[in-house]
Amino acid sequence: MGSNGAIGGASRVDDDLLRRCQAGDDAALGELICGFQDRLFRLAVRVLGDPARAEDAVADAFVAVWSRCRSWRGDAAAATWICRVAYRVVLDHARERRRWWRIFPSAGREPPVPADPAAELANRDRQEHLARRLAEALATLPPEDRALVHLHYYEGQSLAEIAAVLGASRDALKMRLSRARGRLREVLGDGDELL
Amino acid sequence: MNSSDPVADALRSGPIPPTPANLAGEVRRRLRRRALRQRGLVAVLVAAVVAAVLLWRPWGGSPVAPPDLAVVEIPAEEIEVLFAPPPIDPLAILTRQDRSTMLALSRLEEAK
Repeated sequence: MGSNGAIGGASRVDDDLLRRCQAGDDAALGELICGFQDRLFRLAVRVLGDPARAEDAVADAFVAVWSRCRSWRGDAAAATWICRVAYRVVLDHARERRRWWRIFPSAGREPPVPADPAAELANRDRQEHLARRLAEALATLPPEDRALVHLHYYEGQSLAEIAAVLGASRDALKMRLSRARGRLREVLGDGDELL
Repeated sequence: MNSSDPVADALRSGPIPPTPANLAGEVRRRLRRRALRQRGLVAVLVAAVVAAVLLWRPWGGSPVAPPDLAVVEIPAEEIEVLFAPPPIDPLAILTRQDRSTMLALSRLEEAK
């Protein structure tokens, strides 16, 4: 099933489910949602930075998968095709948000500030602190790079697998990943132990 | 996998909210709404086409009636005057015929 297998890996189960979706099988869509929702939701949260918006985007992504499934010809694995469709929908949502940023420049551009400074001070766990700093730094990256960093470092996918989903060459992704890492270093500071 | 990468470790240690439980329901709700919207759009289009055809009536309907002519009463003496032949002098016609005949005969003589 999609959530367990690698994105680029051939999965007969996913292929069958997508074929059943093409035939209008509603139950197959339910199974696809169960298999892919966690992975797609994580990606959407990472790119959009907001669970509510991520839920909206992922629901839209599954609607897009259902309505466009007839265009899948089987040349790519179903999982790759589904993730590609979802990635585009999530990016569309991120671009919508960027448009709002242009209208209200003060909203959203700032990295998230902890709601309670006292709680922040109380939280001395080093790993959590680093994760929070990294999340703040990630928020400064363009959505495409956020997705790339998430898929590579969080989901542990190879550049070849990501290239199939994002529709870019492996070399281009390598360059973008390096640039994103440099940008993170810039935001976090040169001496940061993460980078 | 990049399990030893500090970036990967930091990313994985960060909390990611759990996937909403009702995502499948939300997707189905959206699909239903979308289908309803599409059906509504088709119904509106069909209604618009039917209304346009009914208003236009390409099969003709009733032919265009000629405008009503006002009936005017004309007195009998006026009708006599109106339909009387034009005043022509019969002697003038005979004179003109004779002249033409003479002219034609003289031309024939000259030709000989």
